[in-house]
Amino acid sequence: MNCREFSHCITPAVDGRLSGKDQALFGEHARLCPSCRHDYEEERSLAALIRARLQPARVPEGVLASILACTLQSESRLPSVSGLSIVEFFRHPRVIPVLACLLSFAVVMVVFSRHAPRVGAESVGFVTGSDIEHQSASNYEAVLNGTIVPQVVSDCPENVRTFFRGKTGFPVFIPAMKECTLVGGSINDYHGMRLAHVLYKHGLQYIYLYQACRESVMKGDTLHISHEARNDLDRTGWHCCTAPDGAAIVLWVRGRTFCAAVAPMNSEHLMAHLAEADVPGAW
Amino acid sequence: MKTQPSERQQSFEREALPHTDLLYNYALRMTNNLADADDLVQETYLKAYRFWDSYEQGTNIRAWLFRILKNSYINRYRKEVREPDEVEYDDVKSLYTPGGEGTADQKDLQESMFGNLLDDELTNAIASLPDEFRTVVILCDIEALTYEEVAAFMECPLGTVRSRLHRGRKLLRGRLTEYARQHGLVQEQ
Repeated sequence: MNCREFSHCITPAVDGRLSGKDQALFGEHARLCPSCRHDYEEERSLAALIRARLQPARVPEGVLASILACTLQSESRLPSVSGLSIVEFFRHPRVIPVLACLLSFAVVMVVFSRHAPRVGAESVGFVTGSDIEHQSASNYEAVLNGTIVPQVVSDCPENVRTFFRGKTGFPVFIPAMKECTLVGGSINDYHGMRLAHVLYKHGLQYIYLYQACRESVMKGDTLHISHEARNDLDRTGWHCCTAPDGAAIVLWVRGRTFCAAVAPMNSEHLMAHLAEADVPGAW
Repeated sequence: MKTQPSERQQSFEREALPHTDLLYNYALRMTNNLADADDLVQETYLKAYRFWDSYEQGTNIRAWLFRILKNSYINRYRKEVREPDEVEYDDVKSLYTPGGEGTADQKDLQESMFGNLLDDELTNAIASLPDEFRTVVILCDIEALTYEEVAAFMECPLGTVRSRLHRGRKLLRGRLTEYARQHGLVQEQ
């Protein structure tokens, strides 16, 4: 074995992958050639150092829980349990709250990852014919399951505001909500009606804002609101209700804009976030 | 009333979930960030579940998952890896130093240099390696996978795995040596 051949064998030798014959030739050359022996010793000691110091990490339970929860949710909207390991897992008192948070986080991380295919403005899915409260809830679902993806991704309100500028026909509300990070926004047309969507991250949860032309919504040409919501809006300027999955829906009007907000939190909390941030600069 | 998980879901849990530790460890070493590793692994498994029907049962599930993770990693950090990592041969070549007869002294030097390094410093040095070298070092030296497994993961020949591991270790050694000298962990010779 010459020095060049020896050099090719250093790595397999360090990893114990030389055949008996090659090992003998390798050892013989190492004994006679200090320079090659030195190279071998360097690589061997480094590999030993890594193996001794760095142990494989174990996946955190929360990540595993999130994966399980997401696959369960993907399979059917109602999580089901079967099989001893999963039952035991879900019985843990801390798992359910953690799952609730991680579920939304993990799903939306996929939706908003940079490589996610951008869906054209005309292809965003909606529930035809339902009122704006149900549409808000459905759209929130669509955000979570990836049907609606942002056309602009930025945590800078001015960037998102620039994206909407001149495209909607109504001012778009992009509030600076406390403890919330702006994720991005998108625009689409629904039967000729321009709609704006804005998404925020709040801890592990998401707050979704759905906005449309106030006049069109109030006329009920394409989208409409319930009598109860209309009464509340006339009386107080706000209307709160709950989505089937328990998320809060808040409707309100401001100037020429009709707004709906959806988030997995109680409506008072959501309203507090919105009211606090509803300042002129947010429009 | 309990609903039975579908056969698809059961097969996914049975075949894909046992490999979370492997993928998580790789993601952690590649991103060098706990939150990013969490996200990357979750994203990988969600994609894997979404495309579970396209996985050919009985084939190398770990390689399949690994490729999804690797693609997710590249897409997520596309900005940083838009251009393939390049390492000048001289960077590696220069790490060779004449051994001479002083091998015993050299060993002592190695121990005195690397013995003082903290695990975090070693971790950071690995994280600083170009992707293709970092990947083989992580998979071979930390995960203790075989060359064959790594070749399947990376979809490259065995010889490429071996040469990347060799060069990756040399590069890592060079960086650790430089770090140790800069931080006075070893006396200048």
